[in-house]
Amino acid sequence: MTEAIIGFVALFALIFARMPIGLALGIVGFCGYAMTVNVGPALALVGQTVRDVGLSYTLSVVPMFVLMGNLVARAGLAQDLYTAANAFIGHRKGGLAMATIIACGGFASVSGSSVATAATMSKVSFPAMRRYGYSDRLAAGAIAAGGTLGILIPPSVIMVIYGVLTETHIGKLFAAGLLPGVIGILGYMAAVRYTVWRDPASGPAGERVAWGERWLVLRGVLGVLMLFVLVMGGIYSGLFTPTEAAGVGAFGAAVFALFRRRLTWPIVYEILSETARTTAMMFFVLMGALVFAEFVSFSGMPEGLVEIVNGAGFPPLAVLVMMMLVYLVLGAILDSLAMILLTVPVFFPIVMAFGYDPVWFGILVVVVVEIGLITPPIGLNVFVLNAMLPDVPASRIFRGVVPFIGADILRLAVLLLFPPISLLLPTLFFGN
Amino acid sequence: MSDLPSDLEAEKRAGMSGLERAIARFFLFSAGVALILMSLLTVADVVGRSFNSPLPAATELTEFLMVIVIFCALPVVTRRGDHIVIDILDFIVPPALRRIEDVIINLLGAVALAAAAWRVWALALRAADGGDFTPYLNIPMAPIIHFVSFLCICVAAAFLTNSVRAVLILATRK
Repeated sequence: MTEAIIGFVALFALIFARMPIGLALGIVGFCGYAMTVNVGPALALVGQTVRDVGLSYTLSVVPMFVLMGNLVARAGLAQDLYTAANAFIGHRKGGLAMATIIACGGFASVSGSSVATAATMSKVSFPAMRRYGYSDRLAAGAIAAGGTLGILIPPSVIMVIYGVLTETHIGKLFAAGLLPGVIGILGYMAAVRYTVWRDPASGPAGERVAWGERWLVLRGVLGVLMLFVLVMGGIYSGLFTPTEAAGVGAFGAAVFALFRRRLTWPIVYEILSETARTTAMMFFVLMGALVFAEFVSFSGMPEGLVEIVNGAGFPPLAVLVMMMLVYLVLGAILDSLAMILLTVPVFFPIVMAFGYDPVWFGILVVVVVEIGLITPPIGLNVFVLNAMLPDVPASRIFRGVVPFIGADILRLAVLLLFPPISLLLPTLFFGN
Repeated sequence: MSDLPSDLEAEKRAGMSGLERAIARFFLFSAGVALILMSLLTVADVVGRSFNSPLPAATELTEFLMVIVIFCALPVVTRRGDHIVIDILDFIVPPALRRIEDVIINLLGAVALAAAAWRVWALALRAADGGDFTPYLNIPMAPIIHFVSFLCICVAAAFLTNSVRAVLILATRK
């Protein structure tokens, strides 16, 4: 246990010295394992981890979902979603911002990444909101927050990693993300309304669109719907496994992008190159994290913590709340992948010892990690937006995001207190 | 949409030579082809299954393609300095100290990856001795594991290049 604590301290020291997170995890994990066991087994552990992660069939789901998301981002689906959402609610106060949230939710249903969702939506909805005189704070805040839905609404790359790490059914996790995702959309829309209520000038009403035209633009959403039904329907009908669903989804997205004539050779190269590099970045962290996790579990830290928690007689709910607070603090410094990889090996055994549902805990973790994407000082989505919209300073985006963080905390509390919200759909689709 | 810098920008910033760029593009191209094949393979397997002719080899072929995707892109990501790092302390760390950090961190990276390559090489030798073959196509495993080891060396070389470059920048600045 002491070794693990020293390990965590050393890890954060290296990470803050700007060592790549995957490397820091691997080096500390190796040194820790070498000290608690021996150098030989530690070296063997590193070799075996690199080989196993490299040759993993299950993990092929990660690059395929990343590819699908990148293809979808280039296929112009985001524009269609936004146009459709706008036609229905754009004429209300703050309507363009609410339409942004809905379009983010729709885009999230075919993309597994929050960063991609925020980056894509910023190109589509920010210019429109600016044209209608929306304040930068509301416009950028809505996109940054809406983007976080990317990892909660299935498919989700982060859920896949959680599922692989804890051997939890990925299909169940995906199903479990749906209702919390819808609650997230409603909460964010309420946050937009609140912002407009406080400062009516920040989000004036857009133009009203006639009903005939509304139905017409709704057809543009058909593509997203088809892709979503293809991937999720295939998993739930048992036609293919979640791993295969990713490959099928990537293929479907490619057909779609081709059909819409969005693909030129340079764009294809860029999509593939970006997918490969993103995958390599994630797997580098993953390999390091697996070595580190092996050290942590060998040091007896998870059992030690379970003992402490049981001995002190803390109520399980209080322990869960403490875990969520740890995530909120970590979310301010780590990115979502590193956070999941670092904490789940330590927390998961405790949660299981309480007899909680692994699917439910997975949803809580994803929601709380989402919050980390928009909280200062390193809300990743905020920085993505800052890069996409150079004339909007990060501080202004952070201020715009505050009401959305409020909605997020509320949602987290609701999900924590009412597990059935997360577990209803998985039970319905897959039984117990 | 891109959350990563474009190829050309990233290559310039990392100070990559013409040869390095060519190698990087080749690696990324290979990884891209592997991605396409992976998707097609899955679709062929799923479609084939509904017509009672699945591809039982899809699993092992996907594993090989995974190796190509991950390990071909990894040296490029490393050389370009695209790895996930936490740089929130950058504003208080003086630039000279940052360069020294770069030298040490990349050197450690080179050592770590060289060690990993060495152990993976040992696994490849064991696979060759044990006569490890894939279940359906009877492909020998050893060459593939050797390939992983070779690419780990490439990652180590990328780390080493970054370290040397940081030293050179430090030296010319004084």
